[in-house]
Amino acid sequence: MRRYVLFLLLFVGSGWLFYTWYNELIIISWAHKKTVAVPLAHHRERRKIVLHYHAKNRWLKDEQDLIVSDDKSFSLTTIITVWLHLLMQEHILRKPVLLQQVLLDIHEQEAYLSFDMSLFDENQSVYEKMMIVEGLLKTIREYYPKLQSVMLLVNNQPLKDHHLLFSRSWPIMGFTS
Amino acid sequence: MCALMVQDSSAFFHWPFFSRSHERVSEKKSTITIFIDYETERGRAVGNDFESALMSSCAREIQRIGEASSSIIKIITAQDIPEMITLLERTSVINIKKPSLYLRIGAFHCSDGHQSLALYHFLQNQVTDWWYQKKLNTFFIPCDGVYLEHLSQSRLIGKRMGEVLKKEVKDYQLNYQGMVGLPLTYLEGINAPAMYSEMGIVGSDDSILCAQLISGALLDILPLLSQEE
Repeated sequence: MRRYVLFLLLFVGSGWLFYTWYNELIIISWAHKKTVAVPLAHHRERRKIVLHYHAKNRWLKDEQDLIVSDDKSFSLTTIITVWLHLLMQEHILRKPVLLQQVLLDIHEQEAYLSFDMSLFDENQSVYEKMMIVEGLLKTIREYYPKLQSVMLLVNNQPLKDHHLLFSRSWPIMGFTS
Repeated sequence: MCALMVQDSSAFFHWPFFSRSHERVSEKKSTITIFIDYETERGRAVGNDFESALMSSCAREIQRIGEASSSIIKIITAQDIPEMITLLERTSVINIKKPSLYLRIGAFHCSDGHQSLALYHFLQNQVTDWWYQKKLNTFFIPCDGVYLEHLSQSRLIGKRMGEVLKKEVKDYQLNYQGMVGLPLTYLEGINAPAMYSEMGIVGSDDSILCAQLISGALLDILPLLSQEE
């Protein structure tokens, strides 16, 4: 008789425990299942990067020592920011443009570059605009040949231009090559 | 049954009695319509009044030279169509006119003093072409076979015009910037081989010079356009 009472108490106890756990009245955490977020250590190095731009009807290049990393988004952000500064110095860009964000797709074959404003001036010709984009693509593909295409955005929306279509990504090889 | 009827009707027109009317039909077909477009003041205008005046004078000059040089050319300029608000409506109106060639001209004032001429056609890159080839059977987007046909025709015309311009511009010390396929907003949806010529202009005389060069190149590609007809 005593044994039955013990069994009964055991079942009632385990049922009550299961019920409270199931309804999240109690939380059971397992010590060995604890996950600790370990920051990924990206390898960084100083490397000579070639920046391309078109001026005075010819292609020019400028070599700069930059810190690049395994994290392609970080490296592309550094390279494009320096490239934008270079274009401002050379008076190719008519206003200072800031790179807001660089994102890569899951396969790291398409890059999304978001700027704070358009790279072009309304009065620029198609040729000038095309050469600015070609310079950017040329610089990117030399550093990162695996990339297939680049989408240009302004404030995370597709870049709107009177002449050129940016509703789809541009191939990394550009249109002049 | 339907195919038989078509066959019968074609045989009927080959009958000697109707041969004249058949010739007349072919004569009518041999007219080549070229649409010359440019940025209008009320349309999607960019640039200043000087540039838009240059573009309209250049278009008129191409029309004058072209129609005077050949009786089979009919040139329609942007002045001949009503002013449009959107690019979509503009494209639809142009497609209704069924041109054999759509040529858009653009002018910009060169601050560095070097006159230039560039030629563009439908884009040709496979990576960006994929979305045109999708089955979007809307009324204005050329797709599938039609699009690819116009693409190859545009390339061919662009290549020929480019060769002529490259040869000619040397004499005038113009900087010819080559021919390339680009994703241009206003060439999108045109149901004809589409070209865009951009002129870098210093003085007003340059627009006439460019018009002469472009009309010369247009006359050179006429056999290509009549083949298409």
